[in-house]
Amino acid sequence: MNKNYLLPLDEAAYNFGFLDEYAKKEIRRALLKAISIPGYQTPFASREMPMGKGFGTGGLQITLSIIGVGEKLKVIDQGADDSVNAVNLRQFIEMTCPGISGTEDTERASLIQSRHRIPETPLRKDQVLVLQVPYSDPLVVVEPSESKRKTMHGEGDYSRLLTKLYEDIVKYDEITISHRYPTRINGHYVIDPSPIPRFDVPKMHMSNALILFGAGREKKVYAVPPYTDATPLAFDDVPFRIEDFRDENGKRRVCRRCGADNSFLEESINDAAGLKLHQCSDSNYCNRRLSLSGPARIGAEEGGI
Amino acid sequence: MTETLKNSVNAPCPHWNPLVQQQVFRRLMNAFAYPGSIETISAPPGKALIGVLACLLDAETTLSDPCRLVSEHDMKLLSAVCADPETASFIVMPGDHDPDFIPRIGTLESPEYGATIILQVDQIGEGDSFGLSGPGIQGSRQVSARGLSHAWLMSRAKWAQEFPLGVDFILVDGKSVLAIPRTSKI
Repeated sequence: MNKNYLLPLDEAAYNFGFLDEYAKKEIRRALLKAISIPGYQTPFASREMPMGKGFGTGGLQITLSIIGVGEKLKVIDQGADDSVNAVNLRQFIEMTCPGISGTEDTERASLIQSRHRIPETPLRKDQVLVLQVPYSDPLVVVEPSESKRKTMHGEGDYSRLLTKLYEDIVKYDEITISHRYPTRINGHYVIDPSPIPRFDVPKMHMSNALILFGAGREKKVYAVPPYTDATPLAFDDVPFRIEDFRDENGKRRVCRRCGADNSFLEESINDAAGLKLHQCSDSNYCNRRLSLSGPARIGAEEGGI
Repeated sequence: MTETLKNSVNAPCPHWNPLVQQQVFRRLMNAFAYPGSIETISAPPGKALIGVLACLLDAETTLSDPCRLVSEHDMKLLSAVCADPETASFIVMPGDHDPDFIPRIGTLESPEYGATIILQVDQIGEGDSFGLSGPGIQGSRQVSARGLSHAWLMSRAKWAQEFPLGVDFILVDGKSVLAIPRTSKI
């Protein structure tokens, strides 16, 4: 964010949370209906935000309409607190919401806005997770008309989506969706859970915390309430499975920094040696483990730097 | 800012202050996320009903208050459009008054058009209890409210029998709220 761009502090200053109170109330009403109808894409009047659509304006609008004084806010992008999108959003929210505090610590946060990941640390009842959603409708790949899709959603008719998954199996021997895995909520609506990896999909099932989804461009909000059934679409004989982190010897890869063998790993190539490196995608989880136990560096064979 | 919030809560008519409305809304959102949990609403003291209405309603919403539970003064400030209970998106009724109307239950394509019914009861957490289960509830939860006519629960069963259609209830007494969204099974 441009440090020279200061918000005016006179009577023309922005409202707490940037949005005007009418906008907040409208989003709040949509949120209550979204929670009451788990997985239903509830329309809302997405406002123009001072950043481009696609940069998390849907999640941002949810955050701004529920955040309050004393809130401890965490913003992550692909698991990291310090990437551009996360820093931008956090700074904007801190600037427009005096009285809140930012944190990187998942356990300390009361409100977490995230792009593409659900934190590794299990969430609690007193926390709310807001996910940024680029495309809200899982049926868009099989039906271009929104009014027809709304009918299909209402009737719980996902036969064409299942056919699409079946065609995947016929062609490639497995369902090829890597992220945004269609997931059925409370036995009725199928949602696009935003581009979280498959690894994170089971975390929505019977979660302790409320999970809210905001799609600014698509003008939709939806919710997975706590303790709610969230079942990824699959077939009896081809069950859902998460990413395979085993190496060629069948051993689970571990994070090269903290040694975690239960986290979602990001793969990068070490340019010098051309070796693949694996590291936790959740930076706070990784840092916490490091600070508790000291570096676990298993460097040499993985070409650690 | 924390000071400002404290002062706002203690000021007369705190429920018209946006910072306070946010606090009330978070309680309400928690009530919907965890149906049957009792959430305290301290602003304004003893009048949780107007606190709830003030954090949700504006001139774009329709409100039906056939038994005049909201004062004329507050009605003006809420500025919601008055409507019949059959067409309103928000309905306020006393819990001991049997339902004598059929609310909106939404359409298959747009189930969010189902009404939100706010029932004023004497005391949440007292009286005959009933079990709730469904999304937001681990296993089941016992809920009770003194001053809630059984007829509401009977009517609700009819209105909410075909998910996603249905109505969502908010029970309020003087200082607390409890939500029963359409997904909860009684």
